[in-house]
Amino acid sequence: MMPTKNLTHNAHLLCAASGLNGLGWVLSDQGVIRALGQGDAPADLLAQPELSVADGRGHYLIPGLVDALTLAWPWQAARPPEDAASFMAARQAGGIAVAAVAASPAQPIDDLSSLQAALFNLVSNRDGHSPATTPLLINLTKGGGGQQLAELHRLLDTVSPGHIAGVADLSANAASLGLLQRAWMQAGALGMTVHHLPLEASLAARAEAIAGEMATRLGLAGLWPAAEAVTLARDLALLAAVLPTVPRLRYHAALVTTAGGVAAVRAAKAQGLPVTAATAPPYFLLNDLALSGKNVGKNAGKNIGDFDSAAKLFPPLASEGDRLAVVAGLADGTIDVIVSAHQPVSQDDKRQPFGLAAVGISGLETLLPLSLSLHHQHGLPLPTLLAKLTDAPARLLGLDRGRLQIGYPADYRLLDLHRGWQIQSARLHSRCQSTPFEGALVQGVLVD
Amino acid sequence: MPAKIPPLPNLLDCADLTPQLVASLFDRAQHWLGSWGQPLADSATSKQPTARPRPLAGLVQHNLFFESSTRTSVSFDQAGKLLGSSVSAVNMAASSLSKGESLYDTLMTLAAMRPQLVVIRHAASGAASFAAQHLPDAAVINAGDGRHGHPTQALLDAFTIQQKKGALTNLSVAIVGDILHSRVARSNLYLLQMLGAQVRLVAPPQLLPAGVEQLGASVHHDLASGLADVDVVMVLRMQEERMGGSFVASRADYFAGYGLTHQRLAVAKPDAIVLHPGPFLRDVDIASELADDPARSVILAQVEHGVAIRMAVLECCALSRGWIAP
Repeated sequence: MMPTKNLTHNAHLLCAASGLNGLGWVLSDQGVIRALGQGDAPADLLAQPELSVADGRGHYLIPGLVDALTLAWPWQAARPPEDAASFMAARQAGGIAVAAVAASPAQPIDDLSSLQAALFNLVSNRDGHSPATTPLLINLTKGGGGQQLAELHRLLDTVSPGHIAGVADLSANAASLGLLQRAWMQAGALGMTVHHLPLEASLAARAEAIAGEMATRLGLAGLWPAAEAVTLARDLALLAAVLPTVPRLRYHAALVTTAGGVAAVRAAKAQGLPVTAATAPPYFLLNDLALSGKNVGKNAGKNIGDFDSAAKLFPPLASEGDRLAVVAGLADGTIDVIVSAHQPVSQDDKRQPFGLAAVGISGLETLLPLSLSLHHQHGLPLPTLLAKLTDAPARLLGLDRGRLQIGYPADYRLLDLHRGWQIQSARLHSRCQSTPFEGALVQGVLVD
Repeated sequence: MPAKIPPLPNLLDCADLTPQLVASLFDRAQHWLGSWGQPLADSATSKQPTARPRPLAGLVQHNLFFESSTRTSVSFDQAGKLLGSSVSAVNMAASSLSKGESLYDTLMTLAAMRPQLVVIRHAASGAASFAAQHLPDAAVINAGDGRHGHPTQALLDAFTIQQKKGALTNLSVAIVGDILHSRVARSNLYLLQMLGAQVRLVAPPQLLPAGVEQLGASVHHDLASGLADVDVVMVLRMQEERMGGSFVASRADYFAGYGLTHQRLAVAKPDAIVLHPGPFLRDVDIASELADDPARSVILAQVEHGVAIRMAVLECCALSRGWIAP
């Protein structure tokens, strides 16, 4: 029988929430952190029988990541672009202990049957899956369509507390202001956080790329770059107006991708509104030049046209100015959380001309190394950066996770911060192997 | 054929072209022009059909039109046949795709028939590049992909302007109409500037794509300033089929604001010519009598030149691929 007690020592413990940033040790038992400390592990502890000891020398010991946004995939499809086993393998490889799965345009979670399907496909009877590590973000409106309220009370009654971590309508939101006002009041009364993609539907309709020189040159339907800021301005005005009635309501901008969006969130926070914001690696590492796959990865140097459907995302990749604003927003705390925005799509749906290709990305396994480039290349302090991948998303989801703290789950991982590797889509564990980072060189490997 | 011709393995967009390559394509188009059909009564250059060689004999050409087309489709068909290639023209809209086959599978299927020349039109931007990625052994020629590119149209437009005006250097060309949805505008903007012309775009702001100024054009929202002193006016059709939602109030309202008439053309140079890639909408984007005015309109010359330009392009691609000797 495997010992259930594990000691990892000589590692660099890193957890901003617990104030840890130095050499130390962690003792866990039955999957829970029982003791931890700085410096050398106590000799009497090391002498304990039936203790499995790991030497973390030269490595960082970090809490398991909490990913606040994976998009639900169509699990009823004949060949779904992800399955529970590949999802779990990708999370394990990416160090993601908790992954919140959000209702998506491809797979709503808006009634009892779709909720039960979600539970069955994500968590039932499978090793390593438990509702606690795969919380759901359910639809605020039926099908995310913005026409009719979803049955929040019935859905919340069905599952244990904490398993539904918020409400999310992530399709370009079509709700009228009137419906939005009523829906947020309902969510606020239930003390829920609204995860909102701030792109109003009529502005985002048919968009294939951010409007600008690149979209114009490629002949792609453009998303007005101000759409995010304009929608956020509307959302935040609405939030401020309904808060006196439902003071427990929280607003989370699920993906912020433009300079205007970052500025709007910054202003709302300065006003004291209960607002958080997230972004994903493509939005702080890439700009719309990536739509022409000429400069990266497999197509580098080949003159076979200008389109890389792996870079087709929603929201679309924005301009370099937007990218730099997102980096600045991460640095100054405007953007609290980094998510994978993992959105599995099939190869057939990506292997299309750009205009017809599906949006989506395999994001779980590249979340940590791509985020670490903010430290390696932009000098973001490591504790600040890791908090955006652990403690901050855990608090957003209302979970006691993402910290090195006694009583918390022992989902910590050992990280070799500097070891370099190359992202190769064919080596991803996810069934979805589409990434705009094919061939990119990154630093940071989980070594346990 | 000139001894040193720059390579053109595919023609996906105008970025594949250089001024040198365009000059040699124009030379070849000039060579082929008038080499087919009944000799025109007023043409001194028309040659007898029997005198025409068939350099592409033995080559297989697939014309894949996934989007409806008349002039471009027939033009490529005729160009290929005049050069002796074995042309299969497929109206893909009525074919496998409507049965649910993906574009990838359709291309793979056709690739197994080993065509050397693949002409593709598709409603999705990037479709021609996609075909070229998956058909490395064929020369892929873009006959229009979404709003992205239509390089042979730009070539035939520039050729027509050169025929009527001489060199394009320092000519002022106004492109008027639905720029937002137009692949013709994008290809022309690129090629005309490459050949030294100054390009203005004239359209209501909601029919102009963002960032287009960064591509080198000047932008005008009204005809009076946009057409002042130009040498050439290129009128575009309003592409209602590509519009999701209301972009203009009505056809009549559009004509009232942006329809080209003799009167509005009066601010241009006295000898300014008018082009239209077709199909044109009479009294929507161009006044009926202006479209028919031989002193101004070169619309039918564009169509004839289109065949010659496409002959030159097919020949050049085959040459670049080493399938025919110089």
